[in-house]
Amino acid sequence: MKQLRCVAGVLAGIFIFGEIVRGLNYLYVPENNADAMWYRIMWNSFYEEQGNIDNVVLGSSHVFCDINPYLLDERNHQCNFNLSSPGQLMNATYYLLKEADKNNELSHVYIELFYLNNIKATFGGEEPITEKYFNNWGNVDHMKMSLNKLAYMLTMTDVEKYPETWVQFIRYRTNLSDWGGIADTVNWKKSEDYLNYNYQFFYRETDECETVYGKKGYYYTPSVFNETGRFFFQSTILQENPMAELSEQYLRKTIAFCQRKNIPVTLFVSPMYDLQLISTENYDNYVNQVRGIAEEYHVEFYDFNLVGEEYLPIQHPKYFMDGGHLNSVGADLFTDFFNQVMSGDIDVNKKYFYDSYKERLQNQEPEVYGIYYRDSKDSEDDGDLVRHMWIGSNRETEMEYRIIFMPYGKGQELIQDFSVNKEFKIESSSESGTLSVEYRLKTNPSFIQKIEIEIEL
Amino acid sequence: MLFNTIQYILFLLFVVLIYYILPQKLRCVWLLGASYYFYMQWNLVYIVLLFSCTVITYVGGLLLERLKDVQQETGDGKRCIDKRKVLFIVCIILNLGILGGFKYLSFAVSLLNRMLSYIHISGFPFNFDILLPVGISFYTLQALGYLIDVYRGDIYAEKNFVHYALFVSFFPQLVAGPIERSKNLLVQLNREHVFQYENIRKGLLLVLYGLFLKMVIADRAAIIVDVIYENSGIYSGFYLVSATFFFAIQIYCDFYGYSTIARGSALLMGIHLMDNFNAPYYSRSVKEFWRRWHISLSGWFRDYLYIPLGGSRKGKLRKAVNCMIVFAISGLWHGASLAFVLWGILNGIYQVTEDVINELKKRLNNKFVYRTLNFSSKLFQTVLTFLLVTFAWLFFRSGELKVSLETLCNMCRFDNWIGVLEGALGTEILDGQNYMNVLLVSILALFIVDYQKYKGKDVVEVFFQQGWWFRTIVIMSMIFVILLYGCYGVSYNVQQFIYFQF
Repeated sequence: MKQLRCVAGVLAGIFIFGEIVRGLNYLYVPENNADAMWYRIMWNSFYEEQGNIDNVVLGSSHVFCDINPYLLDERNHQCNFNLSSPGQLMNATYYLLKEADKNNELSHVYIELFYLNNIKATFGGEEPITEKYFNNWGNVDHMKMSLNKLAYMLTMTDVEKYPETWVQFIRYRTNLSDWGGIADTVNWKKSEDYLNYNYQFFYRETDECETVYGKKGYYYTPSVFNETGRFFFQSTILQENPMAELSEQYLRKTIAFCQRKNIPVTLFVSPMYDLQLISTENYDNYVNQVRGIAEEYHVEFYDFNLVGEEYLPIQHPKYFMDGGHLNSVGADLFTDFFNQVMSGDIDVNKKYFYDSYKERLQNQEPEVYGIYYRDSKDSEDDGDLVRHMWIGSNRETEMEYRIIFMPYGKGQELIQDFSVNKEFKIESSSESGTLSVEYRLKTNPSFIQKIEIEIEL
Repeated sequence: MLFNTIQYILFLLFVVLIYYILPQKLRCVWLLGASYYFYMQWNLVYIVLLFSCTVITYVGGLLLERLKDVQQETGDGKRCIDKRKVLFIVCIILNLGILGGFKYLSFAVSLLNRMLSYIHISGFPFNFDILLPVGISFYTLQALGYLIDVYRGDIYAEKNFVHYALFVSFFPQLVAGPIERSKNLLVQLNREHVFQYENIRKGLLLVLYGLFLKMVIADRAAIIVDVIYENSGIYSGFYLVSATFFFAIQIYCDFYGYSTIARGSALLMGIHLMDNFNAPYYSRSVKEFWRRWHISLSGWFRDYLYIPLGGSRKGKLRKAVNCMIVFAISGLWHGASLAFVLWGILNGIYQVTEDVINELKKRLNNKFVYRTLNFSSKLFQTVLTFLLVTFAWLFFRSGELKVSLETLCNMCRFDNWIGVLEGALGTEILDGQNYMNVLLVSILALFIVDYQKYKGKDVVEVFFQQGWWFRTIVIMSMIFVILLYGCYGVSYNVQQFIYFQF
């Protein structure tokens, strides 16, 4: 009898603990920001579709923005699902694939490999991006409990982060007495939109059409990339074999899992606006490493950034919502081509792709895509922060550039007259303004083109 | 592997689970393996020191007893006594040599160099900065205590090496005590332990309370203390006074928290460790404080140093000198720095002064009518003791004599009391006033619990006598206060226990 009382006491304690955690999660976990809502809606839709899914596309935001699963369904007459999440890491891809495989007869698995999620480190001594465990939290918050989820939770972080991983409200404990925030959270969770899994918003204040989180893991946005905003931070310079150990390990595990289950698997990289890849020097190092792994496992790999413009004319701001992601118009254009490649013959597909990114750039019309920058301390300037800038063009020496800086509300300053030099500096103490870059081919100096970029200092 | 980490909790649960699954004979072997694994998490190499200390005192104990037996069998008293004494001294020197080499060599050389520089002689060019092996001060004293007990004939030498090695290295108390006596711990290790629900629930409660003390009070107070002490030029006057008070709370909760987790962890395996604290801040004299603070160390010094020096049996002056010696050594034991020695001496002076005052009071009371102390007088004594002890903590916290004196000077600039009173500690230094409120309420809860201990109650026993709803509320409150306000996880660096550095 006493033993029974002890067991009952322990069970009651666990129940009370669970209920209090549930209550605190309700009060403190906001779920009204864009990422949190994405996870919630995507996982709800996933479990609704369970049992019907033929193909899953796993990967980062480049999947849910770039691939229209409804269009893909029409094209390949199958049920496609974008099981993708913001900044999805390779360990997430592995466990999400296992989740999809549990209750679906998968015909094909597509794995997207956005390079910034999979490389060792970015500038500034930051921790390797693959250790950004919080990219995984949104998934486990909405996955149904299973051994697969347990394994995912146990491996996604080091042990110190377990409390935050396992108990959601702990992540928000700094907002403990933010009563306004709690009221907003409660109101949001009571709203019809929340309860019905609706989420629509304006991606930018200036947008006229609403961005919608659709079902099947589709992020529909008509928002258009602002041409004057082509000003990118140079996040990294890729060395040889730049993939992080953890990413490579899980990529191999993912491919091996598919092969063990006899599910065809294809690796790919979504198209990005060229300035992003130009700013990442030596992008081909990443392509070569992934290609090497793909060849090792005899799986197909397509980097859609290597496609000739004649086959996929997507390098225009009108197809992008920002520098990396396609908008809904670009997504439709890309989804069609994606389907064409995935359903096409491997030998035929070869003709669409250049061997390297560098080669593709060389074969395009000379163009300036924008400006990229990096802040660093210059010893010659007493250690002050200096913003180093580069012109993002697809030619090394054949073009000349004239650069004029126009700080807001002031005159203009000629930084350099026509010259092949692509690098220049602006001290970070300067004001923001507009940078005008005029460019021409050395062989045709009379034909001058111009872009204007707004820069924030 | 710190007690306030998930790794430790998982490690503890795993060790306890296997402990009860294994047959009795293998349990000590399992605990020994677990203890060595636990110690190796800090530094793999220093396990050699722990093992050396164990072997020296184990073999020393056996030989001392063998010589005693020979003495009794042969009646060759004098020679055996001499041999025993030599052996005993050799063992003590070997053990203290290891401790001294790792803890005090650098300090001694720097002190010597400083003295030589006064007479313009160049000092030793060597750098003896060695990483202090965790827990060396604790397990060395524990092993020496055993050796002294065997030498005195208070206990028989332990024959079973596994039991003895476990006595020296038992993981809950290995790195920061309590410094257990062989009569308590070694005896328990030789007993059989059966699974008892009472032990489990009491053990878990102690672990939870220890975590509460460490993560909610000590580590939160540490934020205030660290910011202010590390910028004592900016945060002078009342800020420093407040920080010193918070340090008194921090060091108490840090060390008491550790000891409580250690007791709870051991109790999960049916082993009772001694209570290292008994409501020290309710003490009405510094002498009483030292009977209630770090009881295992105070007891060790009393039994193995103060009494052998003559204690209070050889006159008042000798008693005062003995007291000063014990406290100076106690200060040095805490840290190889003059500030710690000064801290120890200061506590010694307090006690000697108290003795003098008590003597005077006794004489006065003999002449006047003796009156029982009323509440306000008791309160005054408690507050005064707290203030004296807290003042001494200043030297302890600063760690270096020069820094201590600078801090003391900065403390005397009373130009910012309004800011402190208006809650600047919470808003400026902690993440917000609500953190300060929770800290203060938690400290209040600590003092309420301590008051029960001060009144001689077994708090754990009293707790389990309460109704289920009360127990549920208290346990859930502790869990959720730790989860919500504890210093752990992504936003905080896990704080090491202060006494680990000794």
